[in-house]
Amino acid sequence: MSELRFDDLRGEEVVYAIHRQDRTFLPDREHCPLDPTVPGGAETEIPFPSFEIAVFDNRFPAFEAPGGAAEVVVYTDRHDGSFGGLAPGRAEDLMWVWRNRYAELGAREDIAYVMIFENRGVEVGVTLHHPHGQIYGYPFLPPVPAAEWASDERLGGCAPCELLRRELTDGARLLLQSEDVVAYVPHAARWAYEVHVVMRRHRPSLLECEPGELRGLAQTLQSLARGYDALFERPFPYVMVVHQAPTADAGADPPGSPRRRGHLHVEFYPPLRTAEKLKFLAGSEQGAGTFISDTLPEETAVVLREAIARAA
Amino acid sequence: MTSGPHERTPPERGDGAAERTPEPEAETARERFGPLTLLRTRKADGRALLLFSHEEAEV
Repeated sequence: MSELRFDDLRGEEVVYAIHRQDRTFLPDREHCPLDPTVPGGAETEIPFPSFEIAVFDNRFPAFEAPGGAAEVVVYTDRHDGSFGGLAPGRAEDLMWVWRNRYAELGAREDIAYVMIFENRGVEVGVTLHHPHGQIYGYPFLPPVPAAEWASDERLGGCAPCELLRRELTDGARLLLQSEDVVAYVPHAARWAYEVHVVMRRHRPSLLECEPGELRGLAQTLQSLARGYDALFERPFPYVMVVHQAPTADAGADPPGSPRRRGHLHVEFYPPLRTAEKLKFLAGSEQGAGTFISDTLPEETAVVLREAIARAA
Repeated sequence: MTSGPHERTPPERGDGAAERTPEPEAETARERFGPLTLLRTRKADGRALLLFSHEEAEV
């Protein structure tokens, strides 16, 4: 069981999950725990010879009931591949799986915030290469969604709605647009190739989305992921995080409530600033909390648009 | 490893629903969620395992 300690100096929680120190680390292909279980072979995490999408409790959880949740989402039973390379129908199914987990975990009293994410690449600490993501159910409201709520207050309404309006008006950083979804490098991107994928209409979470919007979200996310891979002609590492409405804590309204806050969007934080160079979080980023970027969002948006076009 | 920039994953294999009958003692249930069928079961150590598929479910 993890231990929470509150850092009174920074005003934030720190999670101690010391059992994770011994978690499976980059096993060889023959010992991938996310592969299906081959008849006669050693049992993996998924004791079936084939599957479409599997979700299970993390063997090395950062959170577990009654103090949150940590789940693994395996996108396919194929060991090789990536989110961007999934068949379009599978990516769309994944949106429904995310929706299911947001609904179920969000209904739990011990979970205040559901965060769906994918770490891709050893550069961001991936320990298993099989295409998969994770879900954390936090027993508290973490600093980032708390800051997004504060932005709503500062801007006098839904911050992602307002920021989307500004990006559409400016146009310089737009990457992809469809009827339901817009992708852009944000005006104040912290990472060189940071991208936000935002629902056009105010949808607090996946629960409020129409089926067509889920399809559009999957298509845009995959187009971006393939564009990333085309950018430097290599598998492109990133952290992909789904931002949705908190499910508990002060001010959280139930799904369907007109007062419900939050705006579904997906943020990508890629650590590469060139094909070979990583952006490190160093003195200013760690000591002051202020990112210093070597690139301009308007310029990275140009090359990302070209990469997305090449990958299409 | 992850796929290269222009490499696309070939059509998914094993796209059928889970073929193996879960352990007899495992609690299992099938339900519909959107276009998917959800099979709920538990692993031998008690952890929850959910399998989402397009297999038709008896609900």
